[in-house]
Amino acid sequence: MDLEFAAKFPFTNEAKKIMDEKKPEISDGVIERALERVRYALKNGRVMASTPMSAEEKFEEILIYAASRMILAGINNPFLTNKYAVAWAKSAYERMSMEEARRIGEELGIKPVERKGGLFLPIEVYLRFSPDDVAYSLVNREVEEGYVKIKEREFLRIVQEGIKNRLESIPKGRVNDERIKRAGEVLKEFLPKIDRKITSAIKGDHPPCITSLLDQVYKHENLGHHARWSLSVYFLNRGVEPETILSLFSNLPDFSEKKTRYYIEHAKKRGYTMPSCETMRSYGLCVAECGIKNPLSWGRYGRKGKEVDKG
Amino acid sequence: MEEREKKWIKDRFRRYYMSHELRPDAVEEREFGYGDWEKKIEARHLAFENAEKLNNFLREMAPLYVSRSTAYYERPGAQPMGNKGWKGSDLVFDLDAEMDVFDRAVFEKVRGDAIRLIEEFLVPEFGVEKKKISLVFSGNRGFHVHVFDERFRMLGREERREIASYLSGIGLDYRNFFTEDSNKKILGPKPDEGGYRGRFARMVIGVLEKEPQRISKIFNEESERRRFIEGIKEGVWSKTRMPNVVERLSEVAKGLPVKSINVDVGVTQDTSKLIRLPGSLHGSTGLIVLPVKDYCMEIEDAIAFEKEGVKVRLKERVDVRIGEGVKGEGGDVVDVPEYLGLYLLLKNKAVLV
Repeated sequence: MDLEFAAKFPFTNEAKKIMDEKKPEISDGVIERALERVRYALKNGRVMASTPMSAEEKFEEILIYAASRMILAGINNPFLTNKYAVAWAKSAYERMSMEEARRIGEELGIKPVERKGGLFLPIEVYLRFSPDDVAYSLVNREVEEGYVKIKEREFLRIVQEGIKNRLESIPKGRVNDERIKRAGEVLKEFLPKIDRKITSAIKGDHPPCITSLLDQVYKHENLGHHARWSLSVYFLNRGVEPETILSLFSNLPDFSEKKTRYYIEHAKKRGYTMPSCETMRSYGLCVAECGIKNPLSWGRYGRKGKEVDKG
Repeated sequence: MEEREKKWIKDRFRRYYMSHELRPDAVEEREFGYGDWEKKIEARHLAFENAEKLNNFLREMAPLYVSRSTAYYERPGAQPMGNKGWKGSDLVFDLDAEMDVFDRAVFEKVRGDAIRLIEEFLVPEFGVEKKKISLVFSGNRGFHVHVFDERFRMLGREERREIASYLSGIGLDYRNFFTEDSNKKILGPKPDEGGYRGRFARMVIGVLEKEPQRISKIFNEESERRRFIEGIKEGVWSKTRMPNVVERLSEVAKGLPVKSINVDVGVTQDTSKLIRLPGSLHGSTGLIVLPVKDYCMEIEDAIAFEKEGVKVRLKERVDVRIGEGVKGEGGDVVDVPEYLGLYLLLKNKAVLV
């Protein structure tokens, strides 16, 4: 049992093993501290740094983490869970050594191999965990015999992605502890408010693909790059102000104001045209057969909205 | 189309299924769909416990189009999709060509692309064993490549799209291959690297050796050329007097997309795709959806009907070169073998006399 490691990375199986063995009671104090940790993470995008010294303190770290997950399970909200996951993943990236990353990676099924004096990942693992970023795009990589070459720093980044994926799934099982349920209630203040201004600016009749994306935004789900891009360009073309689109995206758990602002303004400056229905289909964003060629033509030409044959 | 024509076609399809026994893989785990005159997929969510039941179904219905899922399911017949119990999907690629009627040159080009997909990408780069790859003539305008490799089975939509983008070279910009270190040394790909990076390095070396002036006149000079090539082999691209190295290579980079393969992204990324069943008949041609042995195939191999002749009246000028072939003007009545009769009727180029 490696208490040191488990306390530093309490989301690992190592930590879970320790918890399962001890089956500890969760005190009011622990719940309070767990709540404080979650609030800190939601506010700062990183988890609170702490340096437990004694074995007892280390064990408590694991306990606090476990309680924080229970609180999130109790409130069962993807926005909060995802945001907490992002914070943990980023902090873990900053604090882990290559050795520790290998250990965590092994748990997550991210096992690098040494080949020709370099570090490689099996292509199916690379595809699953590499971040959504041009630099990781397969066309820019060395691909051979089923492996993709990576640098050490990139390995850490990929493990970060794996941690985020693991923590994004809301812990299963019903929470019966009233204290934990109550603690969760407090977190609702962190949920982005759906602004009246936004809803009135973007209201109206939109094609099914856009409506479905909006639904996901309101449910605080994470959207992929193409989805965000298509939404931005769609609303820009409908004359919605960049500021409004920006506040719409603030509903996403991994919202970064700087990045989002850059993308929206970039799109506006360049006057990007709306992806055609064909392109939307290739992005996997088309959800219905409306009989139009571009989502912007919705309302003018088609609105049959026949459900698409998923074949 | 008139009812008697429809009946004539259906009779031929039925005859085919009566005299052939299809043995598809993992039949009990696949979802099936079929279509007739209205749509290529009119009904889906069908399941068959075994090949015999599937064959019985085909003999009874003789549908124009039959497809099966690329996915494996616990309960392939369950609805909606979410209840099927997805167990993963084969990786599939669809290579299609634009052609109104069969065109041997275009067909050969697509076949060549499919072979390149296998021999230049799937085997050397994705590490797929050849025996896990099946090349299938789609029955109409192109080829399907099925990859039965467990490593890729559980990949989701996003990951599959990334693979298709990679093969099609979407987002490919050779400038991304280069970085400059603090000593102004330009670091780039080596020729022995896999992927587009290595491909690009090999292309540049090839051009330097054969037509150096395409990059710069200074490479006509043997020593300058040698020095640059030696550098590239170590991944150092600044061993030359030529300024703006990366920019000067843009001419060569134009050839890079030629090396990619145009696959239909929509097909590859769809984990619940229904794809034409190998061994079945294609309802737009009457040709067999044919698994290709050793990548060699003539269109004649896909002919399902031979002997009898049939009289048809052409609706427009046609020149179809499959088997015996048929050529004529609109209004001509021609006597053709059944497979051509079927082809012309299904392509709406002729009527039964």
